[in-house]
Amino acid sequence: MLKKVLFPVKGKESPLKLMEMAGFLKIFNTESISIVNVGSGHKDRTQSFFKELKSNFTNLGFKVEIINRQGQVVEEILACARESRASFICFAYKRKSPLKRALFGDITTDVIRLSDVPVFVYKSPPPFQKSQGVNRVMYTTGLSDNDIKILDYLKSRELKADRLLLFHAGERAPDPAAEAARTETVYSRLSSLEAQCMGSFSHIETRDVVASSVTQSIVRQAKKSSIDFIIIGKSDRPSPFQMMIGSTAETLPRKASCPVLIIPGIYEGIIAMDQQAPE
Amino acid sequence: MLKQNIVFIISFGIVLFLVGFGIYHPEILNSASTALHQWIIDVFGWFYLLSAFFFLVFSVGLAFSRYGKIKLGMDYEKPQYSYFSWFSMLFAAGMGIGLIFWGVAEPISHYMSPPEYLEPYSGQAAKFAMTRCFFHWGLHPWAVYIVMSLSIAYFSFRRGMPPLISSCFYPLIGEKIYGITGKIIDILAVFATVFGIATSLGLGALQITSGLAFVFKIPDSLFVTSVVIFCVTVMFMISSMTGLDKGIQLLSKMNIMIAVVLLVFMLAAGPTSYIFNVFTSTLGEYFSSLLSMSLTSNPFQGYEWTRSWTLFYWAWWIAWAPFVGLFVASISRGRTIREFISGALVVPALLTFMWFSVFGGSGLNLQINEGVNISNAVVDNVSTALFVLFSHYPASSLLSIVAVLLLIVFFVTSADSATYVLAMMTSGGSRTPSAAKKIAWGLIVSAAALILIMSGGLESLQRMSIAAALPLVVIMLLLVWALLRGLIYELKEKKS
Repeated sequence: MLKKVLFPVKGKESPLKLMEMAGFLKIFNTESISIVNVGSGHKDRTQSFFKELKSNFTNLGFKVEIINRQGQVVEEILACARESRASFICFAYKRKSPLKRALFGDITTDVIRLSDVPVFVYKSPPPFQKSQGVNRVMYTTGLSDNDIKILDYLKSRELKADRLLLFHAGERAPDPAAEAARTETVYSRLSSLEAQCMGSFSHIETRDVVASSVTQSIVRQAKKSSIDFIIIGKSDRPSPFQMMIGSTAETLPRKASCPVLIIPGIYEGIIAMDQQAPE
Repeated sequence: MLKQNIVFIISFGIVLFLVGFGIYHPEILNSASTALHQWIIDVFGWFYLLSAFFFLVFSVGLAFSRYGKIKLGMDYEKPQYSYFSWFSMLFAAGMGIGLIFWGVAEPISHYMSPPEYLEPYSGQAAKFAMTRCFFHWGLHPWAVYIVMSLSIAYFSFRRGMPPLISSCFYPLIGEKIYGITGKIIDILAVFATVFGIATSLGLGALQITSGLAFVFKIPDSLFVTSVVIFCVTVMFMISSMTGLDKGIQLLSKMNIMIAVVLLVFMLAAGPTSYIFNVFTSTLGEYFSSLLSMSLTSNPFQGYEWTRSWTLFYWAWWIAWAPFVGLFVASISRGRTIREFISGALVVPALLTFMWFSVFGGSGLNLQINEGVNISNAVVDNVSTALFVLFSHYPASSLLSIVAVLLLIVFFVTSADSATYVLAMMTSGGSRTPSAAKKIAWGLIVSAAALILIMSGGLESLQRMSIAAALPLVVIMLLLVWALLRGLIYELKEKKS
């Protein structure tokens, strides 16, 4: 399902980190990488970087192609993803100060917001976790229709991880009785998800927390459970408030301390497939 | 037992301590409360203005939103009280006595002492006076009350929580509402209510004494004031024992009937077309300048005026909000949010506008057109302004007696509902609090009012009550958030 990745590269990234990231992609069983470089204008300087990157990735067993594009970065990345029929887009996360983000924007966030295909944001795990490999996956569910789509990814045999944490962070109900009912409903739905994922992981855990900030609670929980990477669905219909300050899926990669895979909403996927169908 | 009564014990202790302090060191309480009050109004005046405006916008927005259809109670429930009973009780608890006190005095006071950018005793000052009275007593106070009462009503009748302010915080702090945080919120509400009602009782007793002195030539003395407080206390205690459905409802209906009779008589006997002109033009001026009045603190010129009137009122309404909010919530079960907001916002405000137009307009007419110097009476003793106005009307003695009667009945109603609310707040939200608690609160409130009149600490207590408004604004803003969370959750649940 995640066989073909589109990998936007500026040419300024640390080769070591990129190699680390490529290594990580192995857990998705990814086979080919399309490296895309949009309009740097310094072809001579970056050419050698891309050549070296291509040979390194090839050595890791990937099929690699390099695409050079000119134009508006986010638009070109999305167009490339559509044209090359990439299964997902991958970014190596680079921290940006809030001021820089406010002034110049953030390509990763924009792509997450606009993309119809999954977006994977790679963040180097903390040093003590690196040696342990990728073992624990956390799926933060909103218990929405998106689960159907994301279950396909979780159940896919290509995803190589042993332990799965099905996590839900929600707002407290308005009264104790409603809260008890809410907790019961959430756990029953988490159990149903657990049952569906049973064959794909050796150990599955479910957890629900009440949180005023969903993003913060996901980050805290991921740290607490030493999660290696997080899977999250993106809402099809963000609220006006989310549109203003960014949805959980958009802000999570920035705040999490491990890689995050963002899977677009079920309806976006359908629309995207419909649009691709005539081709 | 101790845990159940912790709010009662702590708040009762604080009230006793402050009243005792006011008796033995009135000058210290006076200077401390003045400094605190001054500082709060100076530093946070803008915050009061913004918050009150926000509450108004929120109330109107909520009434017209999809949440407006949600009932304050189960879907099958019908309103417990008829419209007439409901409006009567709303009005009696929310405004009542203040209107009688300020109906003539406030417009005249603004007319003779407007902000420095207006000429006193001018046409502009008269227009300003009436518009500001509408503004101070119109939509904003009711919006403040609505936020409080709507939250309490929603969480208690719809979500089955005890009718306490702390209950509304469940979506935000969960089980902590049963802990220290919840208790602090409830104690603060009790604190503001006790001091607010004690002050109101004291000031009202002074006005009744002035009225009696004016009509029956009874000496305006401390002894008479004490007798008035004693009689009123006995009356509201009796009413309080009969409960919400009998005593308060009956008294509120009596109030509104007497008030309407007085209003109609004044309208008919006074300069009717002048009054209607005042009403119409002030209403127009009020609505056209609502936004600017709501957000203007006059920082360049006239700030002192805004501070002593508008900001004082805003803090006062907020300090009263726990009492009125809880009371209004307890009589609004079964109404939809839209019905509740539109009813509580429009009807009392319209009646208030009419009241000010009739009494303030008549006062201004005497002052401007008839050459009667009512402003002197306002300067001498604010509480006599109404009686001075009556003295220029036919059957003035009868009118004054009716007004004193109205004052007493309003008084008893306010004290009665406050005692009920205080007992409810300190009984874990029980809708049938024990008689002992009602008596305890009734006695402490009356004793506080009397003792502080004697020691001269009544206004200090009022300032302390207003100081409590600052944390209450924050609490109310959080209530808005909690209420929205509850409503959003409910609609989401329905959809799913």
